[in-house]
Amino acid sequence: MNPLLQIRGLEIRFRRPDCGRAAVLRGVDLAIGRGEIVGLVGESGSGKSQTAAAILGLTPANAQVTGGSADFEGRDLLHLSPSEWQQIRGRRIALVPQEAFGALNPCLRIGSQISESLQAHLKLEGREARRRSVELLDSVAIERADEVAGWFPHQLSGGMRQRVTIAIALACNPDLVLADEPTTALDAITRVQILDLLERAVRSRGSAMLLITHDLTQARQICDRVAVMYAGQIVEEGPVAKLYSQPSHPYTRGLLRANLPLGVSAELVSEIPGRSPSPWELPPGCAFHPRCDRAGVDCREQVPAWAATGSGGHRCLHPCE
Amino acid sequence: MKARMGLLLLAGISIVSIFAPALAPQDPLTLNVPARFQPPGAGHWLGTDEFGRDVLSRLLYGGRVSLLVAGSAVMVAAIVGTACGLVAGFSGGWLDHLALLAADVILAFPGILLALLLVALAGPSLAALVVSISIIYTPIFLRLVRNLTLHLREADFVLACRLLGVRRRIVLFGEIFPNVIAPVAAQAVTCFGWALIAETALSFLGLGAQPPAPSWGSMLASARDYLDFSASNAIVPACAIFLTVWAANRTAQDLQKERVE
Amino acid sequence: MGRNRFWRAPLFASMRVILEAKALTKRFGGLTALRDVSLDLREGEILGLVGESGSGKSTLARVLTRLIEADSGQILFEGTDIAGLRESQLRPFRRKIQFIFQDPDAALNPRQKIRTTLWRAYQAGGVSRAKAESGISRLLENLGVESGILDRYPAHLSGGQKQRIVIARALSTQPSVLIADEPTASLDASIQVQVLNLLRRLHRDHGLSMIFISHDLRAVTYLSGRIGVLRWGRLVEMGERTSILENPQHPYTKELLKNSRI
Repeated sequence: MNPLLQIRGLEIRFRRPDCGRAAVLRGVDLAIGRGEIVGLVGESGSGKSQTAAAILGLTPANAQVTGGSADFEGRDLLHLSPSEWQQIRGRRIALVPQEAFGALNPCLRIGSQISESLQAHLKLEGREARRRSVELLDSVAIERADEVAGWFPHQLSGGMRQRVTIAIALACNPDLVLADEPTTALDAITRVQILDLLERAVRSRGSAMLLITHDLTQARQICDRVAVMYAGQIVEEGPVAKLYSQPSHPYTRGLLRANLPLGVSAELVSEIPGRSPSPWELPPGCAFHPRCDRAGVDCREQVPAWAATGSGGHRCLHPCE
Repeated sequence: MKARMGLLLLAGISIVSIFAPALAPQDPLTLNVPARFQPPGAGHWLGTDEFGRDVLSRLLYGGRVSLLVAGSAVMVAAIVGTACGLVAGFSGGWLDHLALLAADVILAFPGILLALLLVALAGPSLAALVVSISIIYTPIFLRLVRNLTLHLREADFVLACRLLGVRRRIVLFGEIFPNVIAPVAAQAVTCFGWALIAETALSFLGLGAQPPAPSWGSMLASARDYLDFSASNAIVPACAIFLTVWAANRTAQDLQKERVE
Repeated sequence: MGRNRFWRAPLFASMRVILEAKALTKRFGGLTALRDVSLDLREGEILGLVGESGSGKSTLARVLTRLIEADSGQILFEGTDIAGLRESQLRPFRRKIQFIFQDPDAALNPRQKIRTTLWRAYQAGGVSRAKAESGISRLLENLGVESGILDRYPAHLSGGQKQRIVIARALSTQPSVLIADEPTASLDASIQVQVLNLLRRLHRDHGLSMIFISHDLRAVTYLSGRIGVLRWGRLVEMGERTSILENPQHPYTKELLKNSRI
């Protein structure tokens, strides 16, 4: 089965004026099948945002793609021209951003912002586009959609604004939706609702989704498969059921354990000691070994290669049993 | 390299001007009337003016004056404006009202006109130039710093200092001031360009460096009278002014971009 | 490694009330952020306050530390009403009630080295430079931060490190009350656990009385002995941790619990 998006060996280097160049992504392999919801889980500095940016062709000016390919329906996303991107962004690949407020134009009414996309990509007529906009707002559970379509972004609550960005993203029925930490800016109660809505909206259209988050528990809620990133590489990947019950990589296991229980427990939740290395201070060999309780001498000497296991794989010399 | 073009050019022009005495091929004041209006050539790289004086040397020495006046004026304006802005923004109340009132009064006058008035009252001299130009631009710094201070006063790290019982004076100068330096520097560079134009305008009108001392503005003024004899004598100081102001603006732009990054 | 056992707070919390709020009200123009909020903090306990955005939790935190003035009500610290005091009268109390900010980026001066930031507290207390230095190194050790970061600027620190510095600064005045306003909200999930564990340890080691404010019910229950629920400026429920979790009364509390069980 041909995956919808196949990223192979993606390498991106960043340049900081005071620190020089370093690899932010060090050979990322990721495949997303049609209609599949994949989670990309990683903490700040892991490279997950850079991966998302590369898929959308939004790699910043001071970063450079130094290797790899991103095959999307026969085209390499890493080498597209701006006009080719015009056809893909918003139409085939859409983004649900982290902060809705920054993503919406404060001077345009909600309805217009959705119609914009419809008119540009699907070439819909004004009235038809407006009708579709209201329909879309309705589909993301916004009440009195025709009224809300005439509102401005600042009149909506955070949760409603995020629903609007979801509506915009799904307006043209994209093949792939990129959700970049879509619930970070929201309250606990709203988070659950938005994530739920996102899943339903994506599945009902048969679109695929890449959910980028730092919260492993959130990924579990809606993803089919999850890939865990650390220091610019994917260190483990697999179907949700397996990953959460039998993690192979010590980092995954550590993340799963660093989960606050809801309830009164007498025990301290275990933490992963230390912190993630920045690309400019990567330790030799396996990037995780200084914080790993299973590390051996060999972990310092070689970067672990990818070991495929049935439905996924990991990058570890001493995986957990 | 490209990103620093403005700064390099500005630095280059400044250095060349500072070292005018060493670099100028000839004495800018030496008259040589028989050799007047020579076109740019071997003996005089930029030709000679209406009194036979070497234009290149006059340009270098003149640059010295213009840049010195503009630079000093901006520095004075920045220092006074920043100090007043800090106090006004931090204290609030009547001090703030007073400072803003003063700033508004000065801003109400068209800049050059005000400088003209002040110099006319004080009599033409370099000191008068510096003072009057700095007065025009002080309100800009005052308002900039006052607004920044108002904003920073509510920042979490400043509130943290209040909770620690840090003295107000230390909060103002130790916490807030360091955050104001960068915007002020960027504004100062832009102001420098404006101050230079102000200086050349005043010199053009005869209120700046008095003859025979050279300055770009006065060189331009005298060249105007003899355009038929030598176009280059007008073009040369004009280009110098243009390039320097462009360099200043470009530097300010680059500073802005760096801050955003 | 084994599993760590800890004694459940508020095991040694006395019944002496160290900080008390009475009928605090605060309005911002037409919006009422706090409505008649009353609560008490007992010596040695960790009191958790959970609320969503718009609940008034941040306003309450700032009112309690007099960073914002309440419109009406009393704030009793060890019996003295500090709500009406002028700045000059407030000075002796300032250092006893400290605050941990939510966003470490905003809470640290970007143009200042960490060393200076930490030194400010000692400077304000009239402590000599030498004594301050040793105090700072003890703090850093206590918080698990390497001393090398003293000469760096906040931009070169990770989120977790920055938040530790914010906590270090708050502790440098040896406060009796610590109010933490969403201290882990802007941190990654695994670093959140680090910081929460750190706060637990500090509470235990220093005998601090703490108010821990968060939108995350799990974080609040992890740390607190008693929990209060804030909604739209009102304290809708307050009780021991176990009773809140197992027997919530208010419908909003029930809703919160439901949404935290993922």
